[in-house]
Amino acid sequence: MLPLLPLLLYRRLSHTRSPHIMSLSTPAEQTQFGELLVKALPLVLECFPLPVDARLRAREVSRGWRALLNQPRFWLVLDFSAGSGVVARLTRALLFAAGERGRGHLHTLDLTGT
Amino acid sequence: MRTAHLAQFATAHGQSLRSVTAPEGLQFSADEVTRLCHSAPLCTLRCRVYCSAAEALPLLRCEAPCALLHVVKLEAGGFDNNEQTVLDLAAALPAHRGKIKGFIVYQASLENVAVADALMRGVAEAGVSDVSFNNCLLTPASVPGLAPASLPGLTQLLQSDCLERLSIFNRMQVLFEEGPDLTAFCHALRSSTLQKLELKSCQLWLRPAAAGELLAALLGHQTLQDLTLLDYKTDDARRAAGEQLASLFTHTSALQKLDLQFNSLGDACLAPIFDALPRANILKELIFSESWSNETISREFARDVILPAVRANMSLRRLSFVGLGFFKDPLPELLEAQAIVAARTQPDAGAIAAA
Repeated sequence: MLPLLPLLLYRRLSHTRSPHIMSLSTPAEQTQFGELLVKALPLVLECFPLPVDARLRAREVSRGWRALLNQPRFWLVLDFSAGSGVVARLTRALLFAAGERGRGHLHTLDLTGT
Repeated sequence: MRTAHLAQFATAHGQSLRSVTAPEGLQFSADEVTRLCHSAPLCTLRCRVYCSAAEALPLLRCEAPCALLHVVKLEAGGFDNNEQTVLDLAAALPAHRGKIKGFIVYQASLENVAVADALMRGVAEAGVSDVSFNNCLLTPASVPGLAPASLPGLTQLLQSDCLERLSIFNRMQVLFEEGPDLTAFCHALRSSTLQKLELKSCQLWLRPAAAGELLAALLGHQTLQDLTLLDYKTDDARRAAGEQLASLFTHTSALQKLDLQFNSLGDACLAPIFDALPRANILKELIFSESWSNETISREFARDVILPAVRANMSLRRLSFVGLGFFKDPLPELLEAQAIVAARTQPDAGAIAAA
């Protein structure tokens, strides 16, 4: 269940009108909950990184996601190995797009699953 | 994904990269590896390399700029009958900093016993698990009556306990002859942890007694899953060869694949094999070649022996008569036998409709 957490969050936060957020009683509570998620999400993503292709797609969801995933710390490792969860076929464009996000910080490239 | 793409990537990100593991299907030449290591000087590169033996030496020794290179699989050729190159390669293999999993040698001069032994020892010391000798002539050229000299080296390799896959293509030279060397080899084979054995063009059936001793060593083998015996001519020993091969089904606990292409087996040899097939409950793949055999499978044999045996067997998932219909019209019975086995791996149409 835990490794699926970022994916669930990704799906949940991809919808702007989340029922959980809307069910909170006051706007202040909603704001606090939103801030908490914004603070917690990077930690969750660091502990349980999204697959590379999902990370690239998540950047297109909103400006918030783009700003978050523009941080180089999410692009230190490009893992395309068999257990990485990457479903897209590895192409030169995909590899270079992911590499561009981590320019100057990219540390590890694993292509064993391709 | 091609090697050129990875080289471009390394050029773009070489300063920060510390670890690159290339796809297993991608082969790098020595030049490409050197350029890649030059672009990313602090990066550990794990990859498969295909080059001449002379080019492989600096890579195995991790000479600059390849100080952090890890050759996962090495395919080396271009020995040019130079025994010193083989000796140098043998010495460089265990010295490599990373673990070499696969080692394929093409056309190395291994007629000299000392050279062959040195290479086997190097391979064993390096702990290589997947070894292939292609066109290496693992037999002294013309020493009638003497035991083939390569066997002690191969025995040593088997005894190293790291070997999982062994493949030999021996340019139609006899590799196995009766004698103490073969007995020692068979003993090592019996107690080895080999999972895959390929003996191609080793003239196995020219020495029926030696073939028998070898196959007897495989009976009851605990780990062998994949056996390929690719050879020509069984002549007088056909029935005996068939019985020995058939006993592998019933006495070997792990054998899942048996490849008998190009063996010219014929009905006489195939009869014991298909008699035993219903009792083979682990075997998943069985491969023959039909069109190459001088004495092809008769229609009666296909109808009365092959088809009932295939129907009675429940474990097979692939049955192939390679080249069926290539030179003449295929026997419908053989096509049906292939179809029966193929149907076992097809999704059930009824189940799909119900879902």
